[in-house]
Amino acid sequence: MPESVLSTFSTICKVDRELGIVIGYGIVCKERDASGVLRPYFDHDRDGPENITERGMVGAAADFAQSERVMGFMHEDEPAAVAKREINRGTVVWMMPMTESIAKSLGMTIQRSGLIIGVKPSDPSILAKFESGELKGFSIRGARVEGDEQPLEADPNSDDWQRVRYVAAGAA
Amino acid sequence: MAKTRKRTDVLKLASISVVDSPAQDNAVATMIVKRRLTADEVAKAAEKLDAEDAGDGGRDEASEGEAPLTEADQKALHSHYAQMAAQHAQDASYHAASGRLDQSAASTKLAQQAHRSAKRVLAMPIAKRDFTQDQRDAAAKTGAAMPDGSFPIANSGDLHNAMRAIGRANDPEAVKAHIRSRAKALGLESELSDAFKKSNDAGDGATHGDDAMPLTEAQVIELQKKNVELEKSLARAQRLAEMTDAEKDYAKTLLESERESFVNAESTARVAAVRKAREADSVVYTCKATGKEFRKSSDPDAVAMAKALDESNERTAKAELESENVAFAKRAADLPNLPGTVDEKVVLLKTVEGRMKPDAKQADRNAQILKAASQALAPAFQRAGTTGGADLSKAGGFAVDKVAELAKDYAKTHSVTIEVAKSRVLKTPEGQRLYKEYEDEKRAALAS
Repeated sequence: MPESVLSTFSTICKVDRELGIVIGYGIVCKERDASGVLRPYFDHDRDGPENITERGMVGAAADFAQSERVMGFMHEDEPAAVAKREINRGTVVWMMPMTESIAKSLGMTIQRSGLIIGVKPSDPSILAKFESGELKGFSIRGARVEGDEQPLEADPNSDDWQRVRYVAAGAA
Repeated sequence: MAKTRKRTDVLKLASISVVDSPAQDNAVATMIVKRRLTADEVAKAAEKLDAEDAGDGGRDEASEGEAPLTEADQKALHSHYAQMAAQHAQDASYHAASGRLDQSAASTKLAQQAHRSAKRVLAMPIAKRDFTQDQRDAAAKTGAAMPDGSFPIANSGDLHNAMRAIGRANDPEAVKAHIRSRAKALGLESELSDAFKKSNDAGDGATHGDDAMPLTEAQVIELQKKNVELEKSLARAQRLAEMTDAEKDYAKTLLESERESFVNAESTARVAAVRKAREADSVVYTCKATGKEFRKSSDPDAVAMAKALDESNERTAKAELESENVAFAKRAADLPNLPGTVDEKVVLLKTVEGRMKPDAKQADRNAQILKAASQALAPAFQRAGTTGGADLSKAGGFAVDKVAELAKDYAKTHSVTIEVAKSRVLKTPEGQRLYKEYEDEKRAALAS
């Protein structure tokens, strides 16, 4: 299964220099629109707009939390080397999947649902880049396993979606 | 491949990268950089404020320059210092809770300074409203200002500003009369301060005091409430910084509500509470191996482990002692002629080898055994008699005495010991002769 840059999101909520941790949304699933309703958020992936569903985010987050929780830097490093920790840019130390239902059960009102993360760069210069504004967000790398697709001209709110299993379809 | 819209609900994450160029068009990166002061920065700031306090009686940034503030600036400045005080108070609590008492004290001092500054801002004069020259001229024509356009008074704020600015008037009495006149015209006489109600009073007293504050009552109440909250926050930070380690440990065992009242209590009350808690929580076990005390509230498993450790150590020590005693008992068997039991001989042997320090009774018994052994050996050292019956004790006495006398002189003359002197004297011809004389006399005595 090939790994690729799936999506890029950005909302850095806080940089805590003392802890050396940057906190924000690692994945955004839904965003509140002008009418106040949480709608699926589609990013601008080069292969077309993509939304990671809350269900997909929760499952991926659970697996990722039990892995090495690798933090990358600008996707510059060789994925295999990063995965094996031969290159250590940092660690995703905190993860909280914040879905619409979780927020509701906790009595919280959220502007966007997704995966809230705290990353701890191993190099202080990376933290300084966040403070200076040079670095602005997070981007995930991984592999799609299963999902739906539709032509760009189709209505995203319609049922005109085709189920795709990326492994079975030979994407691997 | 044609682009499609995707909705991914099963995926596998490999890594999450930090990036500089997010793809989300409308993402507004909100960055709140919250940074605590380093210990050095805190120390330097505290030092600077100390120096300022010592140098000019507490003059601080808030009062630098005598330029009066606008009402908006006053509120903003007060808010600035109030926030600064709250932040330092929070830092003080944080440091105190982390055991960094020096930093906590420094932050507390900074919080106090900021709090003083916030209070001072409230007492600062407010700038007069800006009037253009045309406005001043127009006001002068209508009588709203002095003939030269100064002290324009069109509303309550202007009235208060004018009262505060009386010190700058060239003709204070004329200005006071103008102020009273305008207050009356505007129906604001009730807002005149005492100094302006009487025509012959000096006006400089009006440059200070709450009556000169152009804030509304609600604003003043709000600011005062903030001050009260700040004072509470500061007091709490100070109490946290003053707490001892024992008090902090005790506080950790309390519920949230109990902890708050404990922190807010006076020092003597906190000490008493900790003492009472310690008394109620008596020591149930002291580990012999580590010396650690376990109290009623201690983890039962930890107490059991400590007891098990001590019991294990005792068993090991006992086994080693028994093994050692067996070895010494075997050696005691090799001393059949010594009086005493095997155990007594074991004690004696171990004492001799420094393996144990005998108690008084054992020491007495050791002495008795040795004394008895000595007595048993005494006959072996008794003088049974001399060969031939001759008394050799006095043979050669003259020669011996003479050698001793010569050695004494030699030792004195040559500053050597008597033994060295004797050996040297015996090598001289005289010494040789005396030694021969001694030998001859001894042989004669044996032969007689």
